[in-house]
Amino acid sequence: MTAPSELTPSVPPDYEQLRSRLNEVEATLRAIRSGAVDALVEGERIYSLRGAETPYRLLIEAMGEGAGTVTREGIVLYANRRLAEMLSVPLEELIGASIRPWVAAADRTALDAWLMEGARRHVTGELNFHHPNGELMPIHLALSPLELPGSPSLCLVATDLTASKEVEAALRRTNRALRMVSACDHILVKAVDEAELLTEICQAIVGEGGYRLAWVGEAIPDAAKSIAQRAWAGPGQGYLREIQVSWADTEWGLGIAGTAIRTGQPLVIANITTDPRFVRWRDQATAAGLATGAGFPLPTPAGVWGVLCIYSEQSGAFNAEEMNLLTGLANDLAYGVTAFRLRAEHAAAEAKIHQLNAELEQRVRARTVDLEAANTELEAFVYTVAHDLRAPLRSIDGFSRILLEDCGERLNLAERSHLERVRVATLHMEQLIEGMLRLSGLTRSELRSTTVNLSAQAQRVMADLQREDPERKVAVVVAPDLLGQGDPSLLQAVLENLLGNAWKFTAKTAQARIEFGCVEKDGVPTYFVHDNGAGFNMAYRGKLFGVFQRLHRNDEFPGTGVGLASVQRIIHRHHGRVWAESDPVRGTTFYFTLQPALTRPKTP
Amino acid sequence: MNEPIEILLVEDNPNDVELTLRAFARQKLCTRFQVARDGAEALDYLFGHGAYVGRDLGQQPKLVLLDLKLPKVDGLEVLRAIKSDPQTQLIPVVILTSSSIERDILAGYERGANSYIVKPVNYDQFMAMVNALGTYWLKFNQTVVVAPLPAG
Repeated sequence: MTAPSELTPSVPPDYEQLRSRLNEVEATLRAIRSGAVDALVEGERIYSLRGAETPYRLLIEAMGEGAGTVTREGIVLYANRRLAEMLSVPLEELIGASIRPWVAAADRTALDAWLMEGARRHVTGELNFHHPNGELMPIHLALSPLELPGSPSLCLVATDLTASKEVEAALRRTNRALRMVSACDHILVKAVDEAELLTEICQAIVGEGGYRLAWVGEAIPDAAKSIAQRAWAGPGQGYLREIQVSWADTEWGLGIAGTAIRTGQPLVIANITTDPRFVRWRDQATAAGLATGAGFPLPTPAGVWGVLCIYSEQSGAFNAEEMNLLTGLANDLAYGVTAFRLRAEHAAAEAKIHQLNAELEQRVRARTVDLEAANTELEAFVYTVAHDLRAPLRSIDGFSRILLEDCGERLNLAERSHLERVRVATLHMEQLIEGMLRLSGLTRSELRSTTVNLSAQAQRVMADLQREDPERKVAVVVAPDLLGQGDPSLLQAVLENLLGNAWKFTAKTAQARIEFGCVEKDGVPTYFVHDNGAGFNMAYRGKLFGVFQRLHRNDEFPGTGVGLASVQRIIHRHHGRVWAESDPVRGTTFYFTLQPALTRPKTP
Repeated sequence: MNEPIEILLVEDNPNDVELTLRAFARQKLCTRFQVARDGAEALDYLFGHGAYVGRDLGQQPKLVLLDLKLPKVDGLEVLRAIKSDPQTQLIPVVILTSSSIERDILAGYERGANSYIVKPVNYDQFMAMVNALGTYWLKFNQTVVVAPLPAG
C-alpha cells in the first residue's frame, strides 16, 4: 500500500507553495491512475489516454477477469476495476502498491518465482487470494512480459476460479456418489443375507462415497417406536453409541432417522450445529465430526421398514443430484431387504411344510406298520382257521362215508340221501376253505413286477378251458400282444378267474363269444374281458367283488364267491381298478387297469 | 402183537387215527401199527424211553407217518430228533398233515423229511392217498435196518 508522503508541520513557509503544487500534481496523478480524468495538459505538453489506447482500456475495464500491469517486484502499475473488486480494495489504493499482501502467504514464494519468470515469457499458475470473508479465493494467474519504457514490467490477468472450483467439487462429489451407487448395486446383487447386505452397503457409502458415517435402522413397532441399529460404518460410528432415537412424533423423533421413517420422505439437515431439530444430538454429532446429515426412508410394500442415515463432515453436502442418487439407493436397499425377508419367510414356510410332511409321513408309516401288522395277523388267523377247519371236515366226510360203506344196505333211500347231502355240503365247504387259503395267499405273497404278455396268458387260459371241456364251441377273440406291468402269476390268476367266469356263464349261451382286449379309459390302458353269457343284475354290482358274495344260485352256476374277490385283491395290489358292466343285450364286460387313473375316474 | 410193527403213526386227532387205520386196513396194506398220540410218546417209542423202556430197538418201524401239530413235542422237533440220531435217521418219515403252509413244507424237507403230504379232506381222495402211500413205502421202497447200539 502506498503511503502518501507525510508533510511535517515544521516545514518552512516558503515551501508552502511548493507543497501545494506537489499536492495538486499528486491529485492529478491519482485522477489519471484511477481513470477519473482522461488527459492532462501541462504547458504545451498534453498527456492523453485517448486515441490509440482508448479501445484497449475500455476492453480491459469491461473484462470479467482482473487485469493490470505489475513490476517484477509485484508493484501494481495499473489495475482494472475487476482486479480491485477481487481483492476488495479501492482501486486507487491498489495502484502503486505491491500485490503480495493479498496473496495467501503459502503462495507468495510461487508468486515471486512466476513474476521473475513472467518477465521473460508467458507463465500461468494457480494461487489463492485472501477473501474479505476470511476464506481463500482460488485464482488462475497469467503473466506476460510487457515492453514498456523504463524498468521491465508484466501484464497480469487474474481469473476467479471460485465458481468453477465449486462446479468441479460438485462434479467430484457426484462422481463419488455414482461410484458409491455402483458399488452398492454390486453388493445388492451379491449379498447372501440381510446383515451382510446392510453392513456392506454402509461400508460402501462411507468408503466409496466419502461420508463420515452411514447406518441403517429398523423401525420397531413397539410402544416406544424405537429404531434398532442394524448396521453401520464410518469413522463417525462412535456417535451411534451416544444417541437415542425414535420414530415417534416426539422430540426424539425430530432427527433425520425418525422423520424419514415417520414421513416416508428423505430429510437433510444441512447444518447440524444450528438446526433446532437436531438440538438433541448436536453435541454428540459435533464431537463425532458430523456437519451434515440426511435420512432416507426404506420403503417396502408393507410400509417404511427403516431408514438409511448418512452424515458428512462437510457443510453443503447432499446437493440435489446426490439426494436423487441416494434416494434411489435407499429404494434399492429396501427392495433388497424385502427380498431377503420374503426369502426368509419362504424358507420358514418351506421348513414348516417339510416338517409337517415329515410328521405326516411318519404318521402314515406308523399307521402302515400297524395296518400291516394287523393285516398279517388277520391273514395268519384266516390261514390257521382254514387249516384247522380241514380236520373236522375230513372227519365229517370220512365218517359219513364209512357209515355209508358199513351200513349202506340197512339205510333206506332217504337216509342214504341225507348222508350224501352231508358229503356234498362237506365238499362245498372244502372248496370255500381252499378259496380262503388262495385269497390269503394272494395278499401274502410278494409282488414281483415285470412286463407280462397278457395276450399270451389269455390264449393259454382259453386253451386250458377248451381242453377241459372239449364239447363246447366258443368263439374266442384275444387281441394280440397286449402287455401289462405286474406279477406274472397273479395276473395269470386274474385272467383265469375272469376268463373262467366268462366260460362258465356262457355255458348256456348259443353262439357263445368271449373277448379279451384293451381300450383307453381315463388316460390309462384298460383291459377287458367280454362275454355274451348270462350277465348279472347291475343293481347288485356292489356285491360283485365281495368275498363269498354270489349273484347266482349254486344250482344255476356253481361257484364259491372267492374268484372275483381274488381278482379285486390282485388288481388293488397293482394299484389298479376293476369294475364290471352287464347288459342283457350286449353281455358282460369286466374291466381292469394295472396303474392308477391319470384323471379322476367317472365310474364309481 | 409179537409181529414187528410196520408203521409208527404219530397223530393226536383220534378221528384221523381211525380214518387212517381203517384206510390202510381196507386197502390190505398194513395192520401192524404203533400209534403215538403226541411227539413225546413217539420219541419214547423210537428211543426206548418212558413207557417203552426195554423195547427191542432192533425192531424199528418201516415208516413213520408224522403229523406236525402235536401236543408236548411238535412234529418238526420229533423229525429233527429222528434224523439227527444214527439209530433212527434212516427210517423214512412222511409228514402227513393238514398244513399246506409253504413254511411248514420247507421246514419239513430241511429237517430231512422223506415226503410231505397234505391230508385230503375228501374221503375218496384220502383213500387214494393212503393206497399210493402204503404201496410205495411198504411194498416198493427198500429200507435198511440199523443194528442197535449196545445198551448203556
